[in-house]
Amino acid sequence: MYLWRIIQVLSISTIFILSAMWILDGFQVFTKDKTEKVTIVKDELFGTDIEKREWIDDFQLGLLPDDPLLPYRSLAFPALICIATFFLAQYRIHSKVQQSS
Amino acid sequence: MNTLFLLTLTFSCITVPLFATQLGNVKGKKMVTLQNSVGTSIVKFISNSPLEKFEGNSQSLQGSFTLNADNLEQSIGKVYFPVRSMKSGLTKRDDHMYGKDWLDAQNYPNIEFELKKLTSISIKKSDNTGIEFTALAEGICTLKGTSKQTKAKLIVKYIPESDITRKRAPGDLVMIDADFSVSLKDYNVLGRGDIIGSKVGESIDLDIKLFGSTSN
Repeated sequence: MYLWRIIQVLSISTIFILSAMWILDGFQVFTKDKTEKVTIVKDELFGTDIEKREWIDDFQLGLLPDDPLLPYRSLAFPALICIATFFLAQYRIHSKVQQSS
Repeated sequence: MNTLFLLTLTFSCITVPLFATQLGNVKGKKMVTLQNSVGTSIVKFISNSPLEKFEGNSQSLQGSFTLNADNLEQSIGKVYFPVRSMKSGLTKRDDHMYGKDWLDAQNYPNIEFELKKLTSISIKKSDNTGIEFTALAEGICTLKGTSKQTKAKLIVKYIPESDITRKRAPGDLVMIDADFSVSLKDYNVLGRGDIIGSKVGESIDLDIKLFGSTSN
């Protein structure tokens, strides 16, 4: 029973950590593997601002995976697994309590 | 009858050049080639759909155009960029974008815009430091092998060669800011399932910045 309680705590913790990561990465729908670095430079000659853009490797967790074949690269898939694990643990704990009483 | 014909001809000869917009004190045809030494030409594409808004770009634009300084309306040119140079920040999405259902980079490696003429030209500034005008570029956009008449709003800045400009690149320098949008359906880009309209916008907005010089 103790083990199942630990599994429950781990599941909830994982959901919280992943949700926090998702929020910090900007609430994105899809996972991204690159981020765009934009540098604004003043162009005196043309009298305008010029954007210098470059892609840099940067994993950002999204609600859904970037690749359907890699569902774990998302918030939704691991969260569903953790929720299922939580309820499975709850069921096991409940069964054990009934057996012992 | 002959008098009427001569009058009409004379009137045409006087009025037609009057409608031609001139590029300040610049004379003749100026061939402008895109050059990174002047600035990095970039095309930004923006997709706005209910599920996600995303942006990407290509910085591999090539091409040239001829500004007819005596008659700006008659300016022509061609600008293109490789489909595979388009990046959106998601490698898997980029791979899909290059695929057969989307832009089919293998069979149609480039996206092109051919300028046929300029209309609605309005000179905003013309002095020693340069000339600035707005215009509507009318031409043909070719995407995935389909060509369509397209209009793009332009802001053009033309800077005649000087000691200052030579520090960056030889020749007269030009910067063009262009905006237009393309409807994916018009170019037979249908995607898979119902992705267009949910994950990808039905039309894509293009924001283009071009830098070139009259020196080859």
